[in-house]
Amino acid sequence: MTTKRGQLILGFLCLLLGVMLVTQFRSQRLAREDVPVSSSDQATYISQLYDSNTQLRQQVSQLSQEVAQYKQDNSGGKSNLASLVRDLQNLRMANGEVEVVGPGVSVQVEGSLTVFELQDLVNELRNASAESISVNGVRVVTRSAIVADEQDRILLDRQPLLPPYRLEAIGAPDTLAPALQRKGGLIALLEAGDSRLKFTVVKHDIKDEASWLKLPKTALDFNWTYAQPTAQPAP
Amino acid sequence: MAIFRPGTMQHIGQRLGRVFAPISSLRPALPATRRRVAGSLGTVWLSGALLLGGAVLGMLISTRWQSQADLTSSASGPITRQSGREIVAGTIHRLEAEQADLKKQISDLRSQVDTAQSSDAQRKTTLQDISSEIDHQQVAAGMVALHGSGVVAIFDDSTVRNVPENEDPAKYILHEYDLRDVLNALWVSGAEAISLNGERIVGNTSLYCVGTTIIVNSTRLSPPYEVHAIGDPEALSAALHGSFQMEKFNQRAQIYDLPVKIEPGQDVVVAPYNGSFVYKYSKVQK
Repeated sequence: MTTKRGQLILGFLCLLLGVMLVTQFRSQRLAREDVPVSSSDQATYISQLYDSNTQLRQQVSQLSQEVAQYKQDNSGGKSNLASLVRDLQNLRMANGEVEVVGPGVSVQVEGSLTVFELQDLVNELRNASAESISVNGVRVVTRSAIVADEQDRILLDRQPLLPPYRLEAIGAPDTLAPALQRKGGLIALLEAGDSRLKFTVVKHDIKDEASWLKLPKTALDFNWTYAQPTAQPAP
Repeated sequence: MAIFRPGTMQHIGQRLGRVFAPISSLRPALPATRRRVAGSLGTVWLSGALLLGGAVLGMLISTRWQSQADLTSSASGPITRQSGREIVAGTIHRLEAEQADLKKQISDLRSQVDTAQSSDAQRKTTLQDISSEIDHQQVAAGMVALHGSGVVAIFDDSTVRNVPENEDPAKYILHEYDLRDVLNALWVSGAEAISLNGERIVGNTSLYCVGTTIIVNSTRLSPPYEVHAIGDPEALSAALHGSFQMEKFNQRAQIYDLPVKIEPGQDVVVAPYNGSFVYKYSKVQK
């Protein structure tokens, strides 16, 4: 009876040991997971993560704003840049520093012109709103002088111009041609004054791009030796 | 972690008590016969078997208990320690994943900012280059007021009040072509900038006569005509006084008493062009 009881106690202890072993094994397996074990550690870790994520989110939003600002500046800057480039091109054309193409009129002159007649023709083209003008392939710019030398040769920018004369002007063909060809206009007066003079005015139409005029840039160098910009009043 | 829980042992004990009863009732029948054969050796075997059986039973019990605990937590019951632990682990994993994502976003954004900064710097340099080129071109185009040494020349219609009957009255007045001669003479003598009665002479300026007035830059001008030119004062004065271009005008001025006043100066001011340069038809050749 005592042996049986002893065996019973032993059996019970073994069973208990088995249960404990298994339970212990299970709990050890759980403890091996990569999260902190104690609840206070967990709480600390979570709150740290939470704080750091909040800061990171703030940084993300700040950087996003910065990127957006740059994008906005860039698009604004581009339109600003485009308008500046346009201004610059206009000024370069005005100064004859670039080759230009466009519709307009050409005037072919048969016979000989005096320097005054050529001056008048250029003046007439300017007056009829020609945008760009050349005479015998020489671009006429602000400082261009049409003068005669002692041998009565015509000089444009100190280069002798010889007949036949050909003037080319870029502008509205339908404004330029009638201005030149009108009754009592300059060409009519010149032809009436000298029967040997003959003018042929050709329109280079806006739609006919193949016929467009191409004017060279000026060979004149704009040197500034004497002129200074006047002091601008302080803004 | 069942082992750390308060009350666990009690719990297990209760459960064990329940399963133990059938085992103890079975046991006497089996080892009774064996003991007669194996003697004390049988006790060792029995203990080993019991240990093994206990382990197996313990595993079964705890597994069953475990799944019951899972069941209670998932079924709206009070949050047990175990399910709470899973929630915590889940939260930690979620926060860690979020952190990794945020860090990646930040690194992407940083590189975007870097790119934007360098392109911005480049654009600003380009803008600066263009605006300084524009400044230069504006001076050349006549859009800026200039001053410097040069000449101021004043021309007027004849002082003769009564034109003799046999004379052409046109010879007593100043014509736009006279002024064109003046401009050409000045340009060819190295003038850098010229204005006529405050109108800057630019590339598209024409001098046109309408009645008794001259139109310059769409502005009507009337005599006296005051020409301001910047350049070498001596060269400009000499051009107006005695150049071939001015010969005919100067002769007429003398004969018909057209007043001419030419004054070299050290600080001649030339007004800026106030019009615009519109290029509707001209295009820059690419």
